[in-house]
Amino acid sequence: MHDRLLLLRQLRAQRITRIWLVTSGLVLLGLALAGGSMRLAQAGGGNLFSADVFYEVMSVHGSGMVVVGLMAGAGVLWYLVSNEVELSVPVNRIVFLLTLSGLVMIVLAVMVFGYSSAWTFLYPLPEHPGSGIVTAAIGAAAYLIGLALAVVGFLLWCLDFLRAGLKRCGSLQRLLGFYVFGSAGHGHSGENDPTTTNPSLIAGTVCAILGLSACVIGTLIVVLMLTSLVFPSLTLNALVAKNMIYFTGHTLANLQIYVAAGIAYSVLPLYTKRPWRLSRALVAGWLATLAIVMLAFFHHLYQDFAQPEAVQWVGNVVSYAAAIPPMTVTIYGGLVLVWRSGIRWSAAPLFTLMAMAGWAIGGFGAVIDSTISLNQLFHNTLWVPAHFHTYMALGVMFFLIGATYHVVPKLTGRQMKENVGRRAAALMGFGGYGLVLCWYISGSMSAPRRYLYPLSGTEVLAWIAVACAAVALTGAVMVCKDLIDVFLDSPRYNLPEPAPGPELAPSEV
Amino acid sequence: MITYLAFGIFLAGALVLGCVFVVASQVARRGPTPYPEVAGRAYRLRLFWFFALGGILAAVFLTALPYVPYANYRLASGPAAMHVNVAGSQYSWRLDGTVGTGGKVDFAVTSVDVNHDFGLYDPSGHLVGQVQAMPGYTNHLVLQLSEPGDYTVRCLEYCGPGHSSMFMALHVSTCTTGCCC
Repeated sequence: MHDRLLLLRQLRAQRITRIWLVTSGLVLLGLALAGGSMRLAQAGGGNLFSADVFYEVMSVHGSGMVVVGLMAGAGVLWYLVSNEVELSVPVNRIVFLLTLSGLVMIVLAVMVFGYSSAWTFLYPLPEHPGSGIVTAAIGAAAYLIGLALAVVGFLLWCLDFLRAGLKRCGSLQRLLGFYVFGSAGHGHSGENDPTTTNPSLIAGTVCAILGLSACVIGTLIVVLMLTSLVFPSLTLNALVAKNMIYFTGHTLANLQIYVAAGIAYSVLPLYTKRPWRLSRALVAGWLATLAIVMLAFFHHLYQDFAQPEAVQWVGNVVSYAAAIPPMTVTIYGGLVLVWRSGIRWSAAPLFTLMAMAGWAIGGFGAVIDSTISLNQLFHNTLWVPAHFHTYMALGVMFFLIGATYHVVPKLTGRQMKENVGRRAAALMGFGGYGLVLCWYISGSMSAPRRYLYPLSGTEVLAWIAVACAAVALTGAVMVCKDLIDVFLDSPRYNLPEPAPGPELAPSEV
Repeated sequence: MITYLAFGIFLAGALVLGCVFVVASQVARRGPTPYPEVAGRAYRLRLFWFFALGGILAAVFLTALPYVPYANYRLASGPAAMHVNVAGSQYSWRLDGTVGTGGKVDFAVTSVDVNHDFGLYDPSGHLVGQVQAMPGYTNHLVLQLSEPGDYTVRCLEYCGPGHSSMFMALHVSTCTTGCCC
């Protein structure tokens, strides 16, 4: 009876993960194409779209990418650890529905009501959108409600992850791996102890704690801005609102890469046939990340000179410190894991390794931008989308694609095509790095971001960026087509494999 | 230009990182070498890498420290010779005051509606400084402009569909004091 219930749960987990993967894949592709069309319009000097449409597309591209990039990763991590902790399938379904309805509301707000105040929705722009569109106020309300729905969805994911983790480990300290600091804890693999944690669980737990704080502040600012929209006499302090928005926005955007790291901890060891063990450095790195991510958002406000100066220095120091855990724990650990492992570079580990490269290189660009004196010349230039696309498009998305190649055979019993995956990796790698290189150069030439046309001297770079984006998008289309083909060609359920052997047990990786 | 130097450093660093990953992907095909052997050496090296990275970041932080744009640092060597009030609104700038190369200029920047960003571009099209224009606040950007000519003020914070058209020309004269322009 217990086995049947377990099997039923596994099949339900497969089902919801299939829905997550297909929906996320299609939405992310659509958003990437929207981003590509923006590049084309911008290179063409704003002749393709009117300014209203251009900024509507920008708003839906940015908002959608933040929401779906995070939630797709959360959906995949949920599946990868669902055999180790008793995560709730019904909660996952509700999370999916909330995310989807939030996304639909955001698209409606933009496409129907003309919302164009960007994913950053800096107060009081949604109230004074400056577009002359009469339904803009309705659009702003619909956008904020849509955002709130998605935020509540992630809040539920975080709560469920913490609940299940605590059920397994008994305490937050054990879930976060504090026991490795004890004399007997170092190198503990947890082979015979079901209450131990592992790197994926630690990553998910840190993300859940950070997500909870971001969601609470995010919900609060959305409610305040909705109230101000309905009662215009209620005005908010623009600087306080900006701090709240960036605390939420930066944290949720940043969590994408940390959720993806949790995915990599589960995926990469299965291809290198080496365990990703707990260590003091790993636990310390994640505990540091917990503090760092909460404070790093201050670097968005360096040019708000009214902000207390001490806070600006905290932003600079913490943003620098943010580079250390990935570069010495996760990325370094990933390289050690593959080194002389005899790995065969199939699509899943290939995309995972490429994602780590994107994370490292994009992070370097981010460190440069987070230097206060350089930010004076780089803030809101194309340097900014350059570095975040390096670790989002060439980092987070590659982690997700790698995980997709890994997970799909488990969900469907069918393999995605390896040759398509490798070709897509080449196209997305060349196109993606070409695109961001154009932006880094344009940014160093002071070209502003979020401009309808390229600044004088950067026109050629804008067109090269379009060509590179087209190459990268071709790779993305190939992966999506292959994913859809496999799902259409596979049975509704795939009976789970027998429990893995002890050398690959999830609690070890 | 400091931004080109930063780009050069970034490009060099990105190439080094790219090479590390390419080499790792090729070496990864060899083996399998027993993991404890690889991990033992690599994790001893990590301590060195940790301190090297921390040291590099600390050195960059200290090197960049004197160049922060905040008014108390920029005015430490003497007061501003010229004062300009700047107000941003969707989608125009209003500047009250004259600007020259003869001393420091204190731009007092605010906004009458939404968030803007006062970005000043020199005659060759390079950004020389910026500060947010926020409703309810006045931010002081202090600049020493060395080159006379026609500058451009651009909005660098997205402020609505007319954002890209929110710019104006600003003539900077050659003068030794703020009042000779």
